[in-house]
Amino acid sequence: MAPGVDNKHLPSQENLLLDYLRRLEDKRAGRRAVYIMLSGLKPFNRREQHIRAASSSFESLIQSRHGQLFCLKNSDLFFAFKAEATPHAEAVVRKIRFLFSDDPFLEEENTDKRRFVTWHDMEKDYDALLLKVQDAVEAEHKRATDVHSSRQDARTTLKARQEQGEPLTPDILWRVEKALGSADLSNLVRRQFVCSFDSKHRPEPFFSELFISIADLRETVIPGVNVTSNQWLFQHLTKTLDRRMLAMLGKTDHITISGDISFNLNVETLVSDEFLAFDDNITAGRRGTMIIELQMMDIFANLSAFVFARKFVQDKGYRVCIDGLNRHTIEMIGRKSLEADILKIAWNSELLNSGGEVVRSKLRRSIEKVGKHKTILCRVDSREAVNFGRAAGAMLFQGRYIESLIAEDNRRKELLRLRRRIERSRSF
Amino acid sequence: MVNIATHPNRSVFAGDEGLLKEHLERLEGNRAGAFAVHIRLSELRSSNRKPHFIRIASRSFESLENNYDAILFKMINQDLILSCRDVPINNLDEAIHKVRALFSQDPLAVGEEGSFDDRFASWYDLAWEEDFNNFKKVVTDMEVKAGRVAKEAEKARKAAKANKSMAGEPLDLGNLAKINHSLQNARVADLVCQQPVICIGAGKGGAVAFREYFVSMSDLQRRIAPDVNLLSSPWLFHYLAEILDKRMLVVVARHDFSEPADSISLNLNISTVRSREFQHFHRSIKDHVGKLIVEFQLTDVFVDVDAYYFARDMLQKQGYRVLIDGLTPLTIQFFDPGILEADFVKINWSPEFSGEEVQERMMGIQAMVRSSKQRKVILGRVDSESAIKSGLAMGVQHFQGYFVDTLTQAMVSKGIV
Repeated sequence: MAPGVDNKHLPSQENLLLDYLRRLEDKRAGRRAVYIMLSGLKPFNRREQHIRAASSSFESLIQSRHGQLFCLKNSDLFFAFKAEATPHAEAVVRKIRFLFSDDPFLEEENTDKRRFVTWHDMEKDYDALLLKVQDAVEAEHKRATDVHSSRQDARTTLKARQEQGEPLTPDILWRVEKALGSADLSNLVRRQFVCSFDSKHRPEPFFSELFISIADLRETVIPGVNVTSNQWLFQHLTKTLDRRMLAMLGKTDHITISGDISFNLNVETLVSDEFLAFDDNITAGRRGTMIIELQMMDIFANLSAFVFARKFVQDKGYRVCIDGLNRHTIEMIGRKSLEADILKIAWNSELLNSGGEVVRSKLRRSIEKVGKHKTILCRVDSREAVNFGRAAGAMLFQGRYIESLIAEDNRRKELLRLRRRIERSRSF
Repeated sequence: MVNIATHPNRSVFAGDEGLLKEHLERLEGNRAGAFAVHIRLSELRSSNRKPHFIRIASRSFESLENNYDAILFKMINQDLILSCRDVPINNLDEAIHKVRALFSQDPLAVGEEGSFDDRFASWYDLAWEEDFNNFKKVVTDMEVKAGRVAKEAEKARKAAKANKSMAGEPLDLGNLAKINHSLQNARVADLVCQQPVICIGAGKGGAVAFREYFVSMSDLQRRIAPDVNLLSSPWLFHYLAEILDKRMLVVVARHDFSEPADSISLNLNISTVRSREFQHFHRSIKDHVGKLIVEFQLTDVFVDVDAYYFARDMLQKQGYRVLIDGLTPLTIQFFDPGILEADFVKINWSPEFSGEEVQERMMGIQAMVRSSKQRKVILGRVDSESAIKSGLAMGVQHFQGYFVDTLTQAMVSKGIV
């Protein structure tokens, strides 16, 4: 939801909201507002599609000109509406509450001072509200100027930005590394599912990958810098990310995750004291639910360590997944495929453009060789990608497109549940 | 592997060897049910004998130590000795099997488990007089050696400190920016060295195939960052290497290619080939591209295989030849470099790969040499005559390394080359 670098010069939602409130000053009678604190939810309930689902619930109220919605940078929603639409707004909020009913934030709402939903009467609460919004704008403004004042050469900066963000230099990375050492990264953890499809083309989760969102990290820690612009420096940074990820996963109360999960680590991390300490603290049963993802490049840079570490973690009960394969590299590592349990091949639209049928049948042979139950087509961003993958024999998929299918399926289930409830209450 | 943490009052030299000896003395009066297992991790290949590997391996015995009358001693030479009483053999087998599996790529672990010639683990039934005495002798020997090993280690540490070649602070993000800056401004032309690759034909003598041009890292370190070990962080080193490439290109562009001298090879990052600096380089040596071989590191290839293919196609079309460097006999077991379709493949020799246990690995190279008629396989880091002999036996004809340097010098002085 965080606006990208490109629209930094557009008025922010915070600014718009402040402007709106000011204009409302002498017309506030008969107006109400509701503040929904989505920022208090657990990270896995705060993914883009969740925010989108929550904000789109207000759509009919907005279209009928009963109110106006502001989506703040921290994911919170502010909806201002005419008093006569109160029952409708209440119904929408109930629906949103229902969407997140399993989140600890809602369960603890009564004991916690912070509330998920706060209703305001514009007439009575106007001053307090204005103050609250002003604070938010100031915080946002400060963040933006901090970024600006650290830049000298605006032209060079802009030019580099246009070419995908400011490049990473050792100095910047050093700052990032230091910041990472102390920052709480749990709100940067994202989850993406690996799914198969049932007979009705509905996604069925196999496991989910947990990762630290690099895009959000970049926005939070060092805005405007392209952290991935230098492969080698980024690879160095991942060692720090590994340690933070292990620390987070080690605290079971920190992230409550259901189902099997995977996460990326460096080969070097697997034989480090941090990993041994992590392994000591988790139960034997949990190891079986964890899949460790390793990058192809990292493996070949540390091959003898990989051979040792793979055996070590597999013996302990973890599964090993090789990430970052493409149609060439999967062919290179052949049938034995480094004795990993799972392989991930990255989708790329090039696959369609460069040779079509030949490429597909080659990939099909590779997938057959290593086994289709252990091969995942990842970075799937379109229906064509899934179709291509299926034609090449793949059964497991991951990527933005799969996430949208899951969201769609969840909405469908949600509506179904809602309808059953209504029917039940009617029958009483 | 001296467990100083658990025995704070002991000197380093006493180590677990001393403790084990004391333990044995106490045991002597009551030997019923006692036995010991000696696991010879000291005989692993050096690439498998890293301290953290040994630490992980020794953890496999933790549950035995916690649940039974078993004590693990970690010897200074990295061997493990487990002293047990009435520990169920099956449980112990399981733990040893796990450790053996960790090192399954090592010749030491290849021997058949429990067989007579299995060097990996030796068992001693301490209730039996003969075994007890044999074991006591082993332990006494180890204790004597331990003192020597520790002294040597200390000497080596001091020597490394005195000779600052590749020692020093680790390379990290804190000092990288400064080094980066120094590298861009330092003189490198006088640090460029060359090493010949020779071709030995069947029945014929040797001839220089080409010469690799490179910057001596220890000299470069002395010049730009005498207190920092440039090779301590592989990823950050790659970062510096990209900058070094550009400096190198300027130097090599000045090389006089019009002389009928040997071809030369140059180590480059794949990203460099797509840079403006490389275009300049290409323009200045255009008429001599046939004499140039570009070496890519395997790790760099795996960063982005598509980028590699793109660079290789471009270079070959322009007339350059491409070499893949950084392979080992272990790499070949896991992937076939033939698919990269380079003109040369360089496999680094290491003395650990001689010996009968590794026949399988050698077969891998042999098969590769046979299958790649067009591609030339180079055995790099050749440091002895026996390495060349094994190479020739596998069908390899191209060699590079210290031993080859001496050989070439001898040939030059005799006027053969």
